[in-house]
Parts: sequence; C-alpha cells; structure tokens
Amino acid sequence: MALTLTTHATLGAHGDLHQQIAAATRAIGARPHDAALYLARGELYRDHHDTTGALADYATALRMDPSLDAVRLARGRLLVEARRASEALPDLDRFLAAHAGHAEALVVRARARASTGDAPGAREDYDGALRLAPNPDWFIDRARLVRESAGPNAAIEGLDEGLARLGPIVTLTLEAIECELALGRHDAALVRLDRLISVSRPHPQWMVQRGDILAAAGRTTDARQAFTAALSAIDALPASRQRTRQIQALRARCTAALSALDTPARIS
Amino acid sequence: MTQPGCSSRASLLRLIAAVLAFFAISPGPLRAQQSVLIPPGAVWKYLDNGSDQGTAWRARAFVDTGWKSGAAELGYGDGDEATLVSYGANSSAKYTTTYFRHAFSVADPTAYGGLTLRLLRDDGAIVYLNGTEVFRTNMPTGTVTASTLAPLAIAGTDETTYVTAAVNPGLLVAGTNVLAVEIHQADPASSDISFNLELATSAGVTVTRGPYLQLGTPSSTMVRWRTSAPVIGRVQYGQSAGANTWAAQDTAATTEHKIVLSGLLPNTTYYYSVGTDTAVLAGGDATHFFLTPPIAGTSKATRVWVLGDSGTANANARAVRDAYFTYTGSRHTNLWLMLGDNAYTSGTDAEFQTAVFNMYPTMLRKSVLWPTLGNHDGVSADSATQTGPYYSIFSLPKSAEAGGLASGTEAYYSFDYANIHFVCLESFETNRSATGPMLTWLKNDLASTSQPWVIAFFHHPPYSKGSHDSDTEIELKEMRQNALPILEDAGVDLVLSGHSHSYERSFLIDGHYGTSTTFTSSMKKNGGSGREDGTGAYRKPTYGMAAHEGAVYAVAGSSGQATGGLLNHPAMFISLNSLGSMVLDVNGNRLDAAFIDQAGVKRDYFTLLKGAASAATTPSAPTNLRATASTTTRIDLAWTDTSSDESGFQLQRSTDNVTFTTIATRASNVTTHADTGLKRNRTYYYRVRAFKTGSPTPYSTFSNTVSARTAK
Repeated sequence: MALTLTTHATLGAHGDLHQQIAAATRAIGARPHDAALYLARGELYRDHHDTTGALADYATALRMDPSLDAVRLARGRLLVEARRASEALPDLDRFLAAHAGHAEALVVRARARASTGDAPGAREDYDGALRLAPNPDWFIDRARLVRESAGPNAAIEGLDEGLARLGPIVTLTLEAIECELALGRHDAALVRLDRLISVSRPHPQWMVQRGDILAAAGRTTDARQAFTAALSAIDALPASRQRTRQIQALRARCTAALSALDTPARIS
Repeated sequence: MTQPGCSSRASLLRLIAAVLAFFAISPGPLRAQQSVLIPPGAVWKYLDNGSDQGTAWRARAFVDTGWKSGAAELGYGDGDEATLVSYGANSSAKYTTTYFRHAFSVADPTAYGGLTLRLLRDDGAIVYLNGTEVFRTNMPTGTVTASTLAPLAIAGTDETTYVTAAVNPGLLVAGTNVLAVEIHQADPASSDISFNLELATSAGVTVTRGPYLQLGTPSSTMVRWRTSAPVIGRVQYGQSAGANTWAAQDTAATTEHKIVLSGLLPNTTYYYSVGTDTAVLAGGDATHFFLTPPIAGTSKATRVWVLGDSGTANANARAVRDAYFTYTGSRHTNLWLMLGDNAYTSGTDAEFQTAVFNMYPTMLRKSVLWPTLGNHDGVSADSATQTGPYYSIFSLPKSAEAGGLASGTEAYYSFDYANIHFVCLESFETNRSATGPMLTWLKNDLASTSQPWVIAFFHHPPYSKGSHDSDTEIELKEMRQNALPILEDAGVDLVLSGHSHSYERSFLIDGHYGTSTTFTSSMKKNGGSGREDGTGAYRKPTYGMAAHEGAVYAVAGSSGQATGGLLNHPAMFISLNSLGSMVLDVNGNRLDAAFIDQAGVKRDYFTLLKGAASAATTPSAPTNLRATASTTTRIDLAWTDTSSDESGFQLQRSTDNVTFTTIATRASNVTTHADTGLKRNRTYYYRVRAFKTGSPTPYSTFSNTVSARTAK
C-alpha cells in the first residue's frame, strides 16, 4: 500500500490536471488491476469536473476491490457536489457504518441529508462531526441548517457551543448576532458585539454595527450617537486608512444611517 | 467553488492510509534509568584558608594536590558534618568562601541523556563542571569573588534540603571530569556552612526532535521537543548562556513536549535548555536561545527567512539552506516562514522529521517558524479537523495569541512581529469563497490591525506560470479572485506563495484578479525593477495600511527543487528556474527583499518604501556644464554646484545622446572632471547630477547636456 500511496501523491503533485490524468492512465496501463489507481484517477476526474469519468473509475475500483471503502466516500462526495444527494446516501451510509468516527464523512453526509430535506439527520451528523473536530466552518454550516429548520434560537445554541469551544471568534459571533437580530433580541446582540470588541482592537466597524443594531431596535438617539462616534473614529484614523474601500464604505454607511435617522418617517 | 471543509484528493489518500494502517502500541511512561557519578558523602578536595582562588581552580586541569580532602558532608557549625572545615581564627569574621573539587571518571559521555545535580548548600553556591558554570544558587548574578557574600542566610529546614538542577551532559568528557563548587557565607559572623552533593545520570531518554520554537510573542514563547520516551519535560531558561534562572515543566509525562514560557520581556534574548525534571537533555549553551519580538507596532530591524516547497530533504534543500546561512552569517533571523509543501511527498511525521527537523535544527532552536499548509502536507493532514502531522507538529495561534484577530483554527491565522502584521491563509483544503469563514475572518482581521506593514502568505500562488498555472488551477484562481481583493483593499504590501517550483516576482501591482491575459500595464503601480540601483525602489505613498497602493507578489517555491515551467506571467518582473530562498529585511518604512540561490548568489532584489519621499532631501541640480576636448583622448568637464548639501556628483556619458552610462562619481563641492581614454575624432555627450547619501539615494535632476569632439 505504501507504493500506492506514493504513486497517488506523486500523481497529485505537479503539472496540470490533464497531465496528471494522463500519468494516472499510464500507471493504470502498467498496473491494470490496481483498484487504488482507479480511485486516484477518479479523484482527478472529479477535480476536472468530469463527473462521468470519475463515476466510471470509482465503479471500476469498487468492482476490483469491494473492500476499498474510500471509494464510497469519494463517490458519495462527488454525488453531493453534483446535486445528486439521494444517490450519495447509500455510499455514505455504508462508509460510515464502517468508519463511524470519520468527521469529514459525517459532514458530507450531513450535506447530503440536508439536500434531501432530512434536517434532523443532517444536524445529527454535524453534531457528530463537531464532537470529533470543532471547526468554524462546520459550526456555521450547522447553524445555517438549524436556523432554517428549527429557527434562530436553536442555531444560537449551536453557535454558543462553538464560541465556548473555539473562543470568541469573529465568524461565529457575527453569525450569532444575526440570529439574535432575527429574534429581535437587540440587547443580546449588543452583548455579543461588546464581547467581540473586548477581544479585538477598537474599530469603527464595530461602532457602525452597534449603530445598526440600535437603529433596528428603534433606539434612535443611541443609534445616532453610535454612528456619530463611528464617524469620529473614522476621522481619527490615519489618512491612509481612511482611504481604504472598507473605511470609505463604513463612512458612507454611517452617513446614510444618520440621514435616515434624521428623516421623519412618512405617515401614510 | 470548493466545498467547505472538503479537500480534493487529500482526504481520500488519508483515508486509504487510515483504513490500512497498523495501529502502534503506545509505550507506557518510562523513567530514565539512573546511575550516580558522584554520590552524597563522596570524598572532596577542599581549600579552607580564606584565599581568593580567582577562576583557575574551576578548571579540570587545575592541580589541587595541595588541597585537603574529606568526605561530605563538609562544613562546620551544625554538628552533622563528616568533615569539619576551617573558618579561620576569627569566629566573627569567618572566611567568606570555601572551595571544593571532586574528580570522577566517565567512559562514554554520549551514553548519558542527562545529568542531575542535587546540592546541599549553606549558604550560597556556584557549581562548575569541567570549568563551565552549571548552577548557581543563592548567589548574585555576575562576577563573584572570594569576598562575595551570599544574599540570604540559609536556615531551618533549608539547611538540610537539597536543591536540584539539570546539567548539560554535553559538558562531560571521556576520562577524568571535575566538578568544582564554591560555598559562600551569607555573613562573616554566621555560625555554619554546609556542603554535600550528588551528581546522577539519566540514560535512555533522548531528544529525538527539536527543540523548536513556536508561538513567539513579546511576552511568551513555546518551546517544543520530542523525547524517546514519555517523561515530564522541563525548560530551564535565563538571560545568559547556561543560566537556569527560571524553569517551567510539563504537567504530565509525554513524548511531545510543549512548554510555554510566559512573563518574558519584549525584545530580549533568553537562553534555554530542555530536559526532564531531573536532567538536561539539550541546550544550556550559547546556541539555544530565542529573541522575543518587540512590542507590536514598534519599528525594529527584522530579518525574515522565507522557504517555499523546501520539503525535499535532499542536497537541493541543503544547498539552499547553507547558502542562506552563509548569507546571513551572524545576523539573527528573527522569524522564518515555510510556504507549504514543507515535507514531501505526503507530509507524514517521518517526512517532517527528515525534511524539517533534521534539515534545519540550528534555525529551529533559535527562531520561531511560522508555516502554512501545502498540498503535499495536506495529504496526511486535514485542515477541517486540524489533525495529521502538520497540525500535530506545529502550534499556531487560533486565539490571537500573537496578535491579530482570533480565527478559531490553526489552519489560518495572523500574528504581529515588530511593525509587521503577518497573515497566513490556508489555500488547499479550506473554503476559499469570498463569504466563507476564512475570508470573513481575513476581512475583519485586516480591519483590526494598525500595523504599517502587511505581509500575507499561503501556498497556492495567485500569479504563476511555473510548474503550476494560475490561469487554470482552481486553488490559485480562487485565491486570486477572492482573497486578493480583500488583501489589496486593506493595503497588503507583499504576498508570498510557493507551489510552483520557481522564483517569480512581480512588479508593484494592484487590481489584477483575472487570468494572465487580462493583465494590463495600468495594473502596474510601478513597472520598474524596484531596485535602487535600477529604476528605483517601489514606493507606496503611505506609511501605513492604504488601499490599492500596490503590492509585490512573489512565488518562492524553489527551496527544494526547481522544475521550470513557461515562467512568462506578465505580472512578473523576473521569473527564474533556480533553487533558492527569500530574505526579507524590514526596518521602519523600508522593506528589502532578496532571492538568494543555492550558490549564495543574489539573483533578485527589490526595495519597497512606504511613505512619501521628502522633497527636501533632494539636492539641487548642477548647472552650466561645459565640455572641452583637450587632446585626442581627453575631454575636460566643469559645472556649477548649486546645492549646499550634496554628497557628490554623478557624471554620465553617451555616444548617441540617448543611452547614458555613469562614468564617474565626484565628491561634494568638486566641480571638474577629466574624462580620459577616449577615442580620437569622436563626439561624446555628457550630463551630471548631484546626489545625497541616503536610502534610497536622493538624486537631483540632470544638468544640461553638452557635447565635445575629441581631436583628430
């Protein structure tokens, strides 16, 4: 097997995909009964977005060596990517039956289950994967799934688990703030924002976000103060920073928000 | 678009390996086997006459035949001594210092993994092994004489308590060794002194990896190493070689030791040793040290070594390494980057051992290494789960331990060093979409920093026509399309990548996010060489982060192999099919970069300056240049100096009034020059400009151009 792995790694090392596929084909010519080579070429076809070629090679690999479980994960993943999730599930189920602790496979099946409308099953798989390996991407994937299927409150629970395990990271915090706002819990959103600010450098972006939340809460005076403070903070930045697109966008956002706050709501 | 969390071929290869893996049986904790070189109660030579023996007495070769001898415990005043030593005639003014020596034999000093010293001392003591100080307790730092008193009086249970220290076994020699000890009184009127000592060896436990440094911050550094068996690891460190001022240790026995030294001072050198709780296994000498970074935001001359695709573990990698070592000489490398594919072919632990730990041991032990994951490393590692050798071997900041914004993952992270903000992205397995977690984090991280310099690094190059093509390969395309707009909007200065086994270095460019055919000259903020002795340094107007003032992109993936390619990407100023590594020197508003090939030749270099050039530093141009042909081979030149602060003048000559070549440099206030060795009956054109000393060199504009024809 060491030889096979080395061959695969070398196949995957250099040159464009066409060259790599040609190399894999030559290797298959030299060892036509090596199932792992078909798996490797199938992966290259997958990279090349050649679903037909990849599926053909996976099928050949499995026919030659039914015990080569990796093919089932490869085929399952390809089918999920090809939006053929229901076809992917048998392979993924079989793979996970043999390798229950494979976090990546759990996530692939979670996506497959989500695509087929099995939100509880997908959540279960994400839970399993995240128990094995906390990862910002998967926490967000799960939160979006749960938010859609069970509402933002449930999504927040999962995000809080992520924040507890990974620390107050920006990606999960922003996702949680969105959920809080969806629930109309502006104060809770502000608390989360403050927690984020406490672990990062002060930045006008956070002040603008604070203004947005306060405005959404109807606290116009506080919102105006926040946007005004943000503009002051932007003005206090070095001129070079003020010229960045991000800061220019923030300034425009503040100005627009202040203008909107100053405009009396039209009564029809 | 890449599926979040899904790698391409890597996870399948990992899976194949996992399915077929044999599971190793972990050995249980072992204690080092010990033997005693000097037992407690040993017979010691001693000198108790109140003399000052200077330093010679510490040496192995010192002749102590005139000294008395006696068994430990040696001392007086407690009643438990085996040998009484003298304190002199005056009990109110006892001798301050008493000297002890003990010779012992070692057949094979390499047989010992460590040495442990156990010392009973009252009051202060300094211990030397074969002339090298190995332990100091209850004594002031610095030079000590026979009249130096111990700062504290030892009393109570401390009088019978042994203190322990690890000693570097590398100080042992085959044959006779000597341990020398000086015991100092705390007070001339003190009633007692005591001395007893044990020196024991620990065999069987050795360092099999490292030590190496991770997570360097102004106040902390992680020291990592691997031992041949699980033991409680310990780091001893201090501010001079061999000093064991402080110690930190594992909480449980392990083979993978990760000890964070905290409470350090910024911009300070610390020397260290690693070992067990009973023995030093490595270090304790002048080559095991680290220099903490200054407080973030502080300007400091910073040298960075950049290796890409260096993991071949072959003669190529060695040659590149040695060329850099020669280049840098005694200049300390403040940190180094690995741009991925750090261990071929599959990033296994064994391959990391060969390609990293066996290849760069001297650098690993003194400079913090910051890596990024390459596709070959990714064969055995998984970014989604942060598992596999790459993630086991490296300890990277996911909670903003070293500055920046917490990413929550070791796959991508940022850190500060001096006035530089470094950003490491993971371009292989992690979701590269513009709205994915990595690039969302990137946006916020860059928004949160105020460092003047931003250097980003990741494996897959946004621009390359080397062994990989950035027009066709998905990782390269997505990094260019999704990450670069964020980086450039934040004002990134330098982007480093590998993957292609070549060196490709761009002009100062901005806004190129399409394929190579869409690159236009308008994307060049500066289309010159970036060389001060060429078309001039690249200059970004702002000292600080400013959007779209240009960045330099370098592919430096030839630190282990050079495998060519078309090497014709139009964004590149230079493309080389050569082995080598990059060196960055950042100081204040200046960044100098160089590519040093495997022979030590500087094959490319450029300078990036930030902040507007000061017009006041430019001298006034000379005027009234005159040229007079005086012979068939000589033309005399004269001009008017209009500058009050020039450092000199540069003279240039042309035969066609188009292409000028510098022919001479004249000192300040000199306004004439004789141009000799010319051809007869030929017309020559001249111009002159003033210059000042500086970096970059400020030149005036040129004077008037004149011509003269040599005589027939």
